Amino acid sequence: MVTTLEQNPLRVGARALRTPEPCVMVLMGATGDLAHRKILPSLYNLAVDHILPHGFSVIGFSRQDKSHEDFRGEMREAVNTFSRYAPVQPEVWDSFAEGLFFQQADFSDDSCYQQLAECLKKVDQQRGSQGNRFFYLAVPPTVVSEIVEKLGKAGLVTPDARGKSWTRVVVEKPFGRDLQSAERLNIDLQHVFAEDQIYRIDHYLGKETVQNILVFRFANGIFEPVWNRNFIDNVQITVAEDIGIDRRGGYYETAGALRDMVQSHMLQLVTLTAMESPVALDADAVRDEKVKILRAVEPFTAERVGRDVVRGQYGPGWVGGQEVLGYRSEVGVAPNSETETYAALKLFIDNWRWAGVPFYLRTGKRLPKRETEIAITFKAAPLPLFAETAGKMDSNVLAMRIQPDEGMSLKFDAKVPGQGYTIQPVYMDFLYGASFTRQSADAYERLLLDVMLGDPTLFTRKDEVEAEWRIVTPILDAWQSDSEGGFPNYEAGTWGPQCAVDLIKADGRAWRKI
Amino acid sequence: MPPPAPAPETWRAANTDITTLERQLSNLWKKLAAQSPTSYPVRTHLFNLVAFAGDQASAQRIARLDEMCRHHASRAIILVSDRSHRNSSVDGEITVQCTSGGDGSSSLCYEVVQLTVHGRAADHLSSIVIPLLIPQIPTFVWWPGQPLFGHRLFHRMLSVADQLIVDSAQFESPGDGLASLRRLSQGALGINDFNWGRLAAWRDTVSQFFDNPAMLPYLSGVRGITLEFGAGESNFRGVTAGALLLLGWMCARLNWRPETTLETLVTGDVTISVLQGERLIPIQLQFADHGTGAASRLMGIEIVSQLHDRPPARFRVRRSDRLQTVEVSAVIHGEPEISRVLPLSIPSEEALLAEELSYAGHDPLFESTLLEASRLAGREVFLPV
Repeated sequence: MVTTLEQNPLRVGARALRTPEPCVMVLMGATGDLAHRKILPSLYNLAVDHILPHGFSVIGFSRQDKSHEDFRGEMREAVNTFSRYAPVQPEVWDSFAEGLFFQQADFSDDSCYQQLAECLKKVDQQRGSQGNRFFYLAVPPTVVSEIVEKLGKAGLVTPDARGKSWTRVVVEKPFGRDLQSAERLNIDLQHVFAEDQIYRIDHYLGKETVQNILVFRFANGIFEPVWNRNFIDNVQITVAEDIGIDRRGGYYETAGALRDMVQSHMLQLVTLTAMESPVALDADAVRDEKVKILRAVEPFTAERVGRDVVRGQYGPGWVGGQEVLGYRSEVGVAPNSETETYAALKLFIDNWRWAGVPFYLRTGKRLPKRETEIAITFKAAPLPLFAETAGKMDSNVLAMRIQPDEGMSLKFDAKVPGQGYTIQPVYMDFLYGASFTRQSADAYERLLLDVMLGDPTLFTRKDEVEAEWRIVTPILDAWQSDSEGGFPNYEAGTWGPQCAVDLIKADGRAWRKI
Repeated sequence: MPPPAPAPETWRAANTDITTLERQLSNLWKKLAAQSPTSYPVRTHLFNLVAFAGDQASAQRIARLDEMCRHHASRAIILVSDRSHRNSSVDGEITVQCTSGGDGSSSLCYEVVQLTVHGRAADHLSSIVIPLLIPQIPTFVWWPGQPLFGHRLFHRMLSVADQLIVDSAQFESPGDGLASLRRLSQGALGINDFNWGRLAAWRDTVSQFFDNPAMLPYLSGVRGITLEFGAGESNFRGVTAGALLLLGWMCARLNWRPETTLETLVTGDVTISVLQGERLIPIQLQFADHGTGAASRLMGIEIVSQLHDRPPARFRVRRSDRLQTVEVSAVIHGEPEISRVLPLSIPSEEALLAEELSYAGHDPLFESTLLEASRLAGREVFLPV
């Protein structure tokens, strides 16, 4: 007698993760930089780690004309350049590459989508993927709505996010340019896909150390009692980059630091730092709490933008011993560009936990070093008992470093050995690299796997992305009406413009030296 | 340019004592810190590792522990027992060391304390180990070879352990050894087995066939299983332990009951059977020549399954003769045959140790496998009803 099993009993209690069902990824923009640097290498890494499902396939869908073999050759080169398992093992690569296909596409031509439907049908038959598919839109934001509409029109989207013959779509950032365009994009997407089929990607959330913020906060009981306005003086979030804009001048001119970093990555860090504990570790419970924080952020009026937000643009200078160009001299940048490469702001979260605690955010390009950290500065001891002998004492600081030296450090004061009460700050450090040497998977590996498994926890929900834009759009509007930034206003290789120093200094505080 | 890692600090002495060892450990850390006053070494301890070497061969193998420590934040204590000596004494050697991270940005620091214990003191190793353990973190006791399950020395050592690490492929009598592990696992002690780790990729690859909901029903219709091992100069103990664990896992997860047992070492082709409900499933253990490097290694698994009156489906995992990859294929009537090649190299002992050190606590899956493996080995004692 054959009994019916509902789940794979061989997976129960196993250390290894469950692997996804067989499926096909349609990679729109398959010849682009993201596909070469991140997506294909991540897929190959998943294959090497035995995580990709049996019969997994990729259909590259892009403007250029090339054969399956050409596509496979290019992807092999990309994997050999960017995979952590490079160089490829020939037998393993050959087997992986059997699942790579290419179809030339004009995104605006209906017939291309009909051809794609044929191709998908054939691949389903050959590779046993049973109609399960996800569309990865690694394309400029301007063509996303059109592609989505045509996918729907060609009957390529089934109504199911899971179960038999599921369809999902992955949308890369930037997700819109402002609140209005993000809302428009959401409407276009939801015209064709249900919300649980849409995966808005912010690769920061795939980083091991970003996920560790949740573990650090909600798996350790000792932090919760002090994680509020009664004990915390301020929070500083820094995303500093030493690089410029590389070859992305065209994109960056339309984005700027606020859209590129603050609207997505930095507000995500704010939510993870400030959110309440979710009732469960499922996608909606986590995202519900994040959205509550975004909604509680005090709106930026024009007056507040003038007082609490500053911007900057780098001029020429020296970074890491190398002379570098100013932003306006970069390729693809207008010589009189007013695009900001630096932004700093102060925001407040109007809820019981955080009322009155300033969150200072700063991000910039061509700063002296690459560093991302969240620093929680605690209030000073209420009684300055040692002030006479020790002078001014610093506050305790808990710093969560996201990159490059992932870890945590707690600064506290200790007595210097000797007769008196000389006090010196010391740092208790936890370095990821000094504790766990297992290599972390790339953020894209984690996120691609989650898409295949149908887990949207680490993806941004519609209301979440709109809430982010609701915070940022008034700043963009204010800057639009006052487009004169006085740029360039900081030298490459320095910590940003003077106005950023003044922003925090006005509160009697200073940016952390990192 | 990041600062280089500080040079290792070492101390050694014959006929020493615990107080001196503790003081020297502290001194060595101070010396290490003094080498780089601006970037002091960071220590994060994840566990204590106590490795027992009952003879010189084991001691030499454990000496490679140093390589393992480079990848883990730990205090490692290597115990070399020399019971034959007339007088009781302890010789000690301590090394504290930091290694730079790949980009030199962070370093991992570790300590290795090697103690050679002579005379009657070797009967009381736990009394030497306890003062040197870092409190509040798990203690793994690694016992190469077959543990002395019935010996007081082994049981005293277990008194300090949260986890016992063994390699059942080295057990003299795999059936008895696995049954003993099963009994030990019923207490507070967690068990880690290199051999279970060696089979992890195989178990994972077999499981993967049935992650696909369309394939899941085939698990209920298994008609036969073949395990193929490399022939040649053989380690029959490793073959037997591996077969017992792999089949024990399937029995545990699929509610199969042993019908015939593997009571002695597997030294040639043999067929046993298990029961799924009332249906007998034959299991063939075969040897085939795949070259000398493949001798005694698991080289293939084939599961034949049949649903209703459809033609049988075959799920196959075959290791290449070069031992670097496996070919995985599913042949199902009316469906395209899809095969793929995945990497599957032979893990080193260091890699297996590193992996097992990542898992502390009870492993219910392994423990239920041990129970079924004991039954398959005919070691289960049935009490009269």
